[in-house]
This record gives sequence, C-alpha cells and structure tokens, in this order.
Amino acid sequence: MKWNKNKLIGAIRFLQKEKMCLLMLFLTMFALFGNLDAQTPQIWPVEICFNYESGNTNDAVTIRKNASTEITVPEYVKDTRNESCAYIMGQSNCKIKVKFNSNNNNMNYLVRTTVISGTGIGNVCGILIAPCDLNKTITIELSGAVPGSIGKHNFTWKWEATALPINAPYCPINCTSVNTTHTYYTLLATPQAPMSIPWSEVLDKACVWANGQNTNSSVLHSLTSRLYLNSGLDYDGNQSHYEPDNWPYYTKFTFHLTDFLNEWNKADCQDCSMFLSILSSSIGASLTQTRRIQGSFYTKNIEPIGTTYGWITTRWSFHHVGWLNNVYDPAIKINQSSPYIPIDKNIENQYKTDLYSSGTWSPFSAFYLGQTDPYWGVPTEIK
Amino acid sequence: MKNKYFVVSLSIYLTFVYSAIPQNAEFKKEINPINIDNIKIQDIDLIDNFVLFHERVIKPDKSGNNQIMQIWRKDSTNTSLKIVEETKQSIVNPVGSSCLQKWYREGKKEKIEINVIICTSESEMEKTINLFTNQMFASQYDSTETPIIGEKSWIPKSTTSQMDSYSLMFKASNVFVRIYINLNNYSLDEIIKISKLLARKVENNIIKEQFK
Repeated sequence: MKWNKNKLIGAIRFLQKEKMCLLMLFLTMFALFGNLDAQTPQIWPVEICFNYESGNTNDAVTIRKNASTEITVPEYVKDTRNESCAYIMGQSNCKIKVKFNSNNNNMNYLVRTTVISGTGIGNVCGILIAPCDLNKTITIELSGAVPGSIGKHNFTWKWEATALPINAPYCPINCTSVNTTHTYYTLLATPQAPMSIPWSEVLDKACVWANGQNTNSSVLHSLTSRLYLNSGLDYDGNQSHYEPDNWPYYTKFTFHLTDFLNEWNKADCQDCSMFLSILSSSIGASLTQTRRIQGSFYTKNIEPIGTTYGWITTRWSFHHVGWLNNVYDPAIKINQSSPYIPIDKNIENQYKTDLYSSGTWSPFSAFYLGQTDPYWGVPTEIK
Repeated sequence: MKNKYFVVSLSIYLTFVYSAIPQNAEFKKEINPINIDNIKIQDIDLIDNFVLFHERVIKPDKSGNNQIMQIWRKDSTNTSLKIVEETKQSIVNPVGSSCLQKWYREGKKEKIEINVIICTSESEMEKTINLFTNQMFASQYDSTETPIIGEKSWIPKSTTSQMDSYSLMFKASNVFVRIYINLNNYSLDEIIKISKLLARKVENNIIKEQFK
C-alpha cells in the first residue's frame, strides 16, 4: 500500500512536469506566431468607385442594371457587392476613388496595383497611404488606357504594398497582396437617348455583339447582323412588345423592353427595329431610328429571324425597320438566290426590289423611342 | 399525355356548361364596362403552372365620373401580384374598359396574352376591330366565314401560321377579345384547341354577365 502510494505520488509529480512542459511549449509557440502575425501589416481596398462624377471626363459612364435597379456606387464593396461599370473606348488616365483599411495604424503604405489577368483600365504605379488616410476616400489616377474598341471585359487587380513604420527603425515590410476582380464595358461614345443611361442588361448584348468594333458603320453592321444571326429570337408577327396604353383611345405607345429582355423569345419587326435602336444608342453609336412601312403588301421570299419559318412569302399589314439614312433590318433575310441581311440599303431601291411583291408600300417618317410615332401620332416611351 | 387529359376534360366540362345555356341566346344585351372584372379570365386551369404576371385594367369607377387605370405586376412566381401604378382621371362622356393580361410559365419562354375590350358604341367597336386586325400586328387577320366563337371571329392568314403559337380574336355583343398563346412542346393542333377553349371561357363569362 505504501509502495503504491509513493509510486502514485511520483507518477502525479511526473505528470505535472510533463504538463508544465507542454504548457510552456504551447505558450511559447503562441507568443511567437501571434507576435509574428501582429508584425505583418496588411492593407486592402474596402471600397472602389468607378463612376463618381456627373460627366465622364475622368471617371466611368453612368449605367444602371435595368428599368427598376440602379447600380449603386461604390460599385465595389469588399465582401458585399461588385457591380460593373462602363468607359468610353480609349479613355486614358482614368481616376478611381478608393477607401483603404489596414490591420496596422502605425504604418505608412506605398500601394501599387497592377493588372494580372484580363484587360484592365489601368495601373497604379504607387500611392502613399498614411494612417490618417485610412477609411477615407482617396482619388487615384490610373496610368494606362481602356481598350480602343467596344467590348465587355473582366480583369484582376493585384494590390501590393510596402509598409514603412511611422517610427524608427524605418524598416520596410512587404505586405501580403490582395486581389480584386472587376467587369466593365467599353462604349463607342457617350450614350444617347433613348438609352442615355444604358442598362447593363442591354450592354451585355450590345458590347458582345459589337465586340472589337470602333467605327460607327462597323458597329451598326455588327449589331444588325448579330441580332439576326445570334440573338436566338424567333419571329412572330402575331404579337409585339410595342403596345398602346389603351384601346381604342390610346395616348401613347410603349416599347416594353423589360418584358422583351425577360422573355427573350418571340419578336416581331417592331421589336427588332426598336431593340436595334436601343442597342446602338446604348453604346453611343449614331442612333438608328425606327421606321414603319405601311402596307398591306405581299412579300417576295424572306427568311424571318429565328428557326420557325425558313424561306416564306407572306402578306404584312406593315413592316418596321431600323433607319439611319438607309434601312437596317435585323428581322429578315431577303433575296433567296443570294441571301443577305438588309444593312444600309436604300428603302426605295434594292431593299424594296428584294422584299416587295405587290400591294401598298408607304414608308412613314422615322422616329426614335421618346419621340412621337408619326403613324400613331402619339408620344412613345420605353419601360 | 397529361396535356391531352386537361384539354379533353376541360372540353367536356365546357360543353356541359355551354349546353346548359339557351342555344338561341343572342349577344344582344350589352355588357357594362364597369363589370370588366367579371369578363376577364381569373385563372388558366386548363394548362399547368401558368401564372398571371401582368395585368392592366382601365375602367370607369362606380360613379361613372372617373376612369381608373391600374397596373399589377409580379416579379417572380413566388411573389404576389402587386399594384405598381394607379391613376384616376375625371371623364365627361361614358368610356369603355379594357384589360390586358400576360400569363407566363416559369422561365417566361411560354406566354398567354388576353385582351378584353368593352366598347360603348358601334364606332368604338369598329375602331377596336380595325386596330387589332389591321394595324397593331404585322400579321394579317382574316374574318372567318362562320364565327369560331361569338358573333364574329378573326384568325391569322395561313401563310403566316406559326408552329408554336396561335392567335384568335372575336366579338361578342360589345366585347372584343384577343387570345394569343405561345407554348413549347405542344402540337399546333393542341395550341389551336387550347386557344379556342380559352376563348370559350371568356365567351361564357360574357354570357353569364348578360344573363345577370
């Protein structure tokens, strides 16, 4: 019994020593790593504003998501949101507004950012952030330019910094870098009515379909042909998204762009010509208007947009086309023996020769949405 | 198979209902524009999962001194229909009423549009008919030799017929109705049948309103 008791006491003492050693080891490691962690300063962007002025001399163009949703500024808020923005193509030395935060308020930071993937809007060679600048919005000029053609671009910025203590010894420390990713559109020129504040849902199509173009004529050519060839829309002359506000005593006509985009399915000639007008105006191309050709008339062989029909002849009450001094018609192909999408065609010459067979052919004046429709004699709008 | 079951069962139901109404009933009694809510479709129970996403109603109020316009919209199938715009304006002369409904299935690739217009005069009705059959849509509409529904009906010319959508219009008393249907994975015959059944539903509402 006595022997067991002594052994037990010895065991307990031994165990206590072991415990103490382990505890000391743990505490040492904790202090070491904890200390190391506290010594490594970091700085990161908390907010980035791309569009902050009423114009777009230095910053991004004002855009919105759709009819009901604006794009909130700042577009980038860490861990919260990351909205797209838009620039005029070739715009150089853009400025952004950034708010930084760090884990160490006793450092001055020399911050730089470079584009490490994608096509960016510029780099920051170096900017000094003092402790008093933290959590304040700072204007930063970027070096470089956005692409000189239309497109939709993604890029990643790598934010690097060297920290310099505010007190001696002034040993510089390399901070851990941080990446941010962004999406932006490049437009031909300042957007115009009826899409002077473009919807990103429209730019998603306009900037992709006109990707790489940088002249007005090439843009209109691309938009018209891509709308016909690649939109996935299907012609249906029994419906339209261009509607009066009441029957039979209408006071305005509305192009229901929101419904048209949400459905993205059936389209008539009014839908096609009006959407072409919206696409071109959203990226600042010369505005294509829309023009009604009143019938009724029989057509020659046409191939309406989509996959439902193939080549047919038909009789229309009217037809609607895009218009910029000549016809831009994304709703049909004509001339079956040598098919083409009507782009920049004279309405009374080749276009009529290849489309019209017999009946009434009465073109009305062109207009764009927001103006009075000369056929109906009432104002128009987009919703 | 399920589609055909609904079409057949609704056909039988509507035939029973229609046969209960005097066959020589004429569309003489006019519908009061105030009662457009009794004419419009309340639910589309003949096709699964169609939901009313948009409704615009313009009608005189009960006093007859004002015209009310209400627009109802739904953002998704899980949210409720809510009023997004409402206006009221005073009127001097009697006005008609109109209702536009847009029904969608999830994804919005299939759509049903129903227009109901109640006119207060013959000239207003003629203007409405001309508007819909000759001016609003590129497709030409022909008057049918014998009415499919109501007193007079119009359907698209065959040369412009679609394979996945159909539209028909009709007039019954002082009411003009347009039905447009776009469905996927249905034959054109089925779509035409459903269009006629929907039109029949509206026609029955008109008849019931006349006999009140």
